[in-house]
Amino acid sequence: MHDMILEMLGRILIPATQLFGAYILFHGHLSPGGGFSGGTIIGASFIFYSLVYRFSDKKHRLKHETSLWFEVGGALIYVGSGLVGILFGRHFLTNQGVFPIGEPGRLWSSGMILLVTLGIGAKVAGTVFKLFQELLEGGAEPDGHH
Amino acid sequence: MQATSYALTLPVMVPLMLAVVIYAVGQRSWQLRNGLSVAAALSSFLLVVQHYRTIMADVTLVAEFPELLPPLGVSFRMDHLGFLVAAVVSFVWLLVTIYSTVYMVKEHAKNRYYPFSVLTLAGAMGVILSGDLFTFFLFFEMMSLSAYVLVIHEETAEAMRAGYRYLMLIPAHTKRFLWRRSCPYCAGAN
Amino acid sequence: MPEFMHAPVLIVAVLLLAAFITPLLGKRQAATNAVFLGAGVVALVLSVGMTLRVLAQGTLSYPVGGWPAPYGIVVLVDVFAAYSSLVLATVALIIFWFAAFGPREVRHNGAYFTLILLLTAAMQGMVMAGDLFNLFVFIEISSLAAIAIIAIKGTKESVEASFRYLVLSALGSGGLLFSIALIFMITGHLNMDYIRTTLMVTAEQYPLNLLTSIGLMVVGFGVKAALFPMHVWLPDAHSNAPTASSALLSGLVVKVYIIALMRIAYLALGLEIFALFPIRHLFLALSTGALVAGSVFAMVQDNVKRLLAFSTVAQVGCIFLGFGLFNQRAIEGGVLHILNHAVMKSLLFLTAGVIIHQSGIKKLSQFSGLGRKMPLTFAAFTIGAMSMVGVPGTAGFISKLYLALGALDADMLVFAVLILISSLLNAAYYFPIIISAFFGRDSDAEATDPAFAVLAPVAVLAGMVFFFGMFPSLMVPLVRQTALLFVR
Repeated sequence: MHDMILEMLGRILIPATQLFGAYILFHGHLSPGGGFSGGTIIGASFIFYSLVYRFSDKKHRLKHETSLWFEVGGALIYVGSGLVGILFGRHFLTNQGVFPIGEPGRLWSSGMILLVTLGIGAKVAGTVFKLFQELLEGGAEPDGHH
Repeated sequence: MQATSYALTLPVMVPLMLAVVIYAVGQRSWQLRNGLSVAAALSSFLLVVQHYRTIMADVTLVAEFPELLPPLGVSFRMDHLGFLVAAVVSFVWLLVTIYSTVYMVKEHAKNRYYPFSVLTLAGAMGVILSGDLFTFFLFFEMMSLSAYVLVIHEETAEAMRAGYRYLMLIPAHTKRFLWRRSCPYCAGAN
Repeated sequence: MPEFMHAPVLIVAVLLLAAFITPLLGKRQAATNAVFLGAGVVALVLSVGMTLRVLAQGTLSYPVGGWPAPYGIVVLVDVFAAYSSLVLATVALIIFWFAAFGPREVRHNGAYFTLILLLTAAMQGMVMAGDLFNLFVFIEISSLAAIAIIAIKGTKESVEASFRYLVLSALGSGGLLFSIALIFMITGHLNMDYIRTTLMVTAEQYPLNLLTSIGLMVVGFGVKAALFPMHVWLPDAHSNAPTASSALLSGLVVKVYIIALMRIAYLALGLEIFALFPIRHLFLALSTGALVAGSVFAMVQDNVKRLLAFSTVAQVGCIFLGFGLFNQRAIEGGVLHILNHAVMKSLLFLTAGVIIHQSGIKKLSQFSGLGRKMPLTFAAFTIGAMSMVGVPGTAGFISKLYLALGALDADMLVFAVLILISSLLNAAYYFPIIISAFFGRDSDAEATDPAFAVLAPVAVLAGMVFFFGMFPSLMVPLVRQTALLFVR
């Protein structure tokens, strides 16, 4: 099935949603928002993408591995940035003195917080999309065996 | 007079160790199994009798292990009476074991009988040589549980029923000993 | 000495990292096993190092992120936490070993291992948590992971049991959250040390809030730890889970909540709480119920795993009894029982799993003669059962001895009698199994001992039962100092 209206809407809305999600994500330390809300918005864009293209085109289909990597990568970023503190001889999850803090109020500031927010965002986006995939396939096994 | 002699544990420990060995070799050679069973009883007897001169010199032998099983600790003790009973029991056990090598020829499950017989001997020696009620209780429980296997050797319905009754009585009996041990402990602690 | 300073967070971080990596490895079985077991070994090494450090230098308090106490999260490792972490790491590693090489009951080892690692990480975090909110987060993680490792078996019964567990556990969590909120309302702190110092001033002004809070806390933890009248979810949940999950749940998970409750009691609420509120009497009454009811229910079971699950209800009562009697010996007994019961109940559940897998028989009435067909497996089962009964030389005897001596020290003879009765009841339902297995009539069932790789973790546990039965002095310094935290 190929739906022209959905596809045209998707072409406009998906990049716009993702840009908005990225904005929320990257300004987590400056304004309301952050990993959870930004991640959910980006995850919603994935859902929209697969709704638009999934039925028409096998090539555009987002795989289970993709969402898995998003989820796992996000979590690894979080734990990894915590471990950096120990590598520098400080405590776990130490921010000040380990990461460059920058100038308060600018985008590149607050050191580790931005990194951690990115990790949370990736994790949440992956999880939201993963839940959608699982619901769509009605409890089928994660590696595609039915 | 008292003297410390850790050799006091040997009449208990040697049969205990040999029981495991007997079970292991029993699968391969019946000669070795029977020979070792007799050897266990014999060594237990000799290990008791070697203290004859010391005991006759009115020396009470003790071996204490307060660090084992805290807070009560384990101890062994041998005086005139203990020596006599231990010597008699291990000697009779020796005779019984020699007798059973012939008597048991037609029986089944001999690989089970011999290790548990030797284990029961270890328990009995422990009971006789124990230096306090707690050690007594430990070895009494060991002796009773291994004797259970000897009780039900026939495996007839009658033997199993008698065995079950016996088994249910063991915790009841032994816990009573623990009980008696604990009351003075309790009084002393306060 | 900076060694093992970071161990408290590293234990949790390593287990979490492994939990995140295992799903990526997909079908590569060897790599999955390597990551899974590797994380367990690293956690054990860190835990041993941390314990030695705590023994040498006293309580280790670790400010996460370098933020000091009232603002940041503090991980607080005292002797009790170190001991608990050591028990968790040791027993969990052996269960990991069995899960990796034992019979396969779950289709996706990747997902299963992730859940097990998450559960272990959460338990480690829980026993070392220094503030209530952090504790609550770990409680939630461990509850959800525990529910998932039951449901992952995928049978109708296991899904139903895990759903019942989910409902009751959520109820418990709700109670805990409310209780933490009440404490925060009275004190304005979540850090346990600060709560204690503030409570000294404010407790008298808010007696009702404090009472409600403690009540909710005891009920919340009681549901999760399956304290007697709140145990209804446990038998189904523990008996329908995969073997490794059953061992983990019965051996470790229920006890972690007891540890958390007692840590809150002396760290956050202060020991005065035991004098102000009748917590001890509650513990004594409920543990009496648990000891009797658990054993009596276990007697009438025909399914071997249900019997073991009911026996857990009784043994949880034993641990609470130690804290209810509240003197040096009794608490030592209760704390030792956490280790001893973890070892012997894991041993029993793993052997029961092996027996069921090898013979296909779950019913005790059909066990007749099985012991002669699989002697090694049933020898391990016998060792575990002897320890549950409390035969001298096994681990179970030591903790029961300490508890009985504690009851005598407290001048409460009735509880010493209770322990003897419970041992007798244990004998009445464990020994017939062994007798019928070894000496009963032969059945038609075909069964053999499994391969050595499957039995190896079971053999290690059986060895530990004897080791801790003969040489409890290894754990005595930790246990004694733990008891001193309560009775100063």
